[in-house]
Amino acid sequence: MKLTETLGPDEDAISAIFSCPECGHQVAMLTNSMETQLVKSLDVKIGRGAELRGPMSVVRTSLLDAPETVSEGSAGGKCPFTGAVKEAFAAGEDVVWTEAARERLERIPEFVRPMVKRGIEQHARDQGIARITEEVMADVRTTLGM
Amino acid sequence: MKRYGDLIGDGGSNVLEQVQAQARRLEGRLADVSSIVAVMSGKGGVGKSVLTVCIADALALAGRKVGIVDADINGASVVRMTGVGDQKVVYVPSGAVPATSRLGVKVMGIDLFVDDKTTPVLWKAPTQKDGFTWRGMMEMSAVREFISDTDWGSLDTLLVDLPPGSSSLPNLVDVLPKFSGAVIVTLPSGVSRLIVERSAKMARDVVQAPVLGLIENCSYHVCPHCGEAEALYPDGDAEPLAEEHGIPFLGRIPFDPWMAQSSDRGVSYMQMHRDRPAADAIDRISKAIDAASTSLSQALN
Repeated sequence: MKLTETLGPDEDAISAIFSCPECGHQVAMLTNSMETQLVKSLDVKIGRGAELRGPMSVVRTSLLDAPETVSEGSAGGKCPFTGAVKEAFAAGEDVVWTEAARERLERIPEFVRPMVKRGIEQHARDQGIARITEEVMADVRTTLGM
Repeated sequence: MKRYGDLIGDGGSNVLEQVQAQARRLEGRLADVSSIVAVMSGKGGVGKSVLTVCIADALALAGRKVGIVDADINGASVVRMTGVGDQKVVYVPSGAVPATSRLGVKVMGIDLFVDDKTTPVLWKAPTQKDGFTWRGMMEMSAVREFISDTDWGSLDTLLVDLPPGSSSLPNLVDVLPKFSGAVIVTLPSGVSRLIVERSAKMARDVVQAPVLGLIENCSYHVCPHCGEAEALYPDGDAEPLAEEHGIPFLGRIPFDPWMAQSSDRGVSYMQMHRDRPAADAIDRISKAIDAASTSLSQALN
């Protein structure tokens, strides 16, 4: 999915619209930064579907390694949310996950998921694969024993 | 497109069930922990963390199975004081394996997760600005994780080293499914006396948690040459204060520079200096805490 548009703020909420580059399907996320962070601090997963949760998920995933300027947003710009979205999408633009592959990735326990994701994306880059499918995941599992 | 106000319920996330699952996980984790004791103080700098470590060591030397949670996220010191700073948290199917001191005390704290111990604890967020709305919840979630996600095994006592201030106890008690009681540490100064009253009232009247006792730290200094005890503060005897509030007075601990040095070096003061007057006082206090928390836990179970 690609971030295509942001709307708002509208009553303190921002809408971020994502589009699938292949089929054009659009998904909108509605949130504001304080709500997002409050929910995050509860350590709950937002969205349908069960989540396999590893130990110490708050500490492992939310602890900031290096200090940043406290008085200003880290991602630049006036809107912290759009900055964070851009930052998140900047990292993995060269490979695209299919919906089925992403669902399969989501079934992997959370505490090893980032490592597995990085390994699969690196394999895809090494093999010149731009689109990660379930077949690519199966190939990685066979080749690398993941 | 749906607007924010169009969303019904939590959109299928089932946040309530997730929060309830956290509570069940915490309850299951503490099933084999006999007693949970919070060490608190009204103000900072009274030696609460040093005493927590010394009490844990005294209990461990007496053959008890002990763990410490450093709940002071922004002033964490227990990892260093117990000498486990070079250990890394290992994840196994049953949870996170805590660091273990030379005496077998299991330790969990934020310093086990950061490489640079001088870096202030900050949480990832779109911005740190306006963090007052969520930072406290983030820290409490981390403390809850330290307790619920650590593979403590079977413990006689889990000590929780709370951050200074009277608000930290109700936060902890809200999270825990069971709680044995709090120990309050103070100095024999007028200011400490004033603030410890606030903590005592918070524990007893607001949280309605058992207070196992009051410890007066740095009460006096014993001359290493002649053995004469000399008071370090002109006023502020904590014993009448304890009596006034119906709290057991657990004892006075003399000031000992060796205690600070042991803490700085991550070696056990209670093991290395067990013949010192302060070690003797801590040993007696630890036995009193152990007896009180055990009887309270048995009564509650």
